[in-house]
Amino acid sequence: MDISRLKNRAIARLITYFPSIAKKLVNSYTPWESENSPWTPVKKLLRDSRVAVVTTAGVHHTDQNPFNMYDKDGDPAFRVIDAIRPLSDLMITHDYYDHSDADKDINIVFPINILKEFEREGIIGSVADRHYGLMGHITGRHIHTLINVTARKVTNILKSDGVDIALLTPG
Amino acid sequence: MRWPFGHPLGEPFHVAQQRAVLVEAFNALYSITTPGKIVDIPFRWKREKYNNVDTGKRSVLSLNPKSLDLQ
Repeated sequence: MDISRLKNRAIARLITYFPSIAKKLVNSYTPWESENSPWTPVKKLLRDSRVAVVTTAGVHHTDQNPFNMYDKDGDPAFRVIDAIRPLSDLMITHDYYDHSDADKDINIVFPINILKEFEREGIIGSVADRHYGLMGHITGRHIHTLINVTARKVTNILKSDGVDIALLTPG
Repeated sequence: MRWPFGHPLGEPFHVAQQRAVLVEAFNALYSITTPGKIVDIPFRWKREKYNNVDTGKRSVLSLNPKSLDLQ
């Protein structure tokens, strides 16, 4: 692993264990802000709704291409996560947060087991067959791709899968 | 929540905690009526007993489909 990746991982550990550093980092960052946010009220009961997870924690299957950690602007593409496959088929590629705990139990960033429990208990209608892994830390030129290409593609697939609720989880 | 990065649902294998966070997320889905609204939930990092958590409006222990249908 090259020096830049090691440096990013070291910073990720620092901000996890020293919240004051994390706070300074967050305060120094100017996020991209939408000029207007469309609003869609919920029309279905939770017990009738189909739920999918969209995570920016860098989750993907072990046999998929990992997220690109060598582009300083991040990787704006997405990976489809098959809910039927075992958790052992999942991994995380993301140098910008410390995922050592998520590597032990991926449910803390991708709560598929809990959603399946909720489905069995009748709390939600169903868990979608397909979920989506993205990478946080998208900056610069890739912000446009994320908003105008990736988000639209994922939204269209969610609609075609009959998903009512997308649960977004960060890393 | 003032939790460390990389732990949006909480601690590894802490199922009660992970369930509690998801319950709050689903409740927010029905209680929020304007875009951009942020709901702060009162869970302290590693200082909660989730079997007894009462978020004010409902207890996690009383979780059932009816209690989540807030509309």
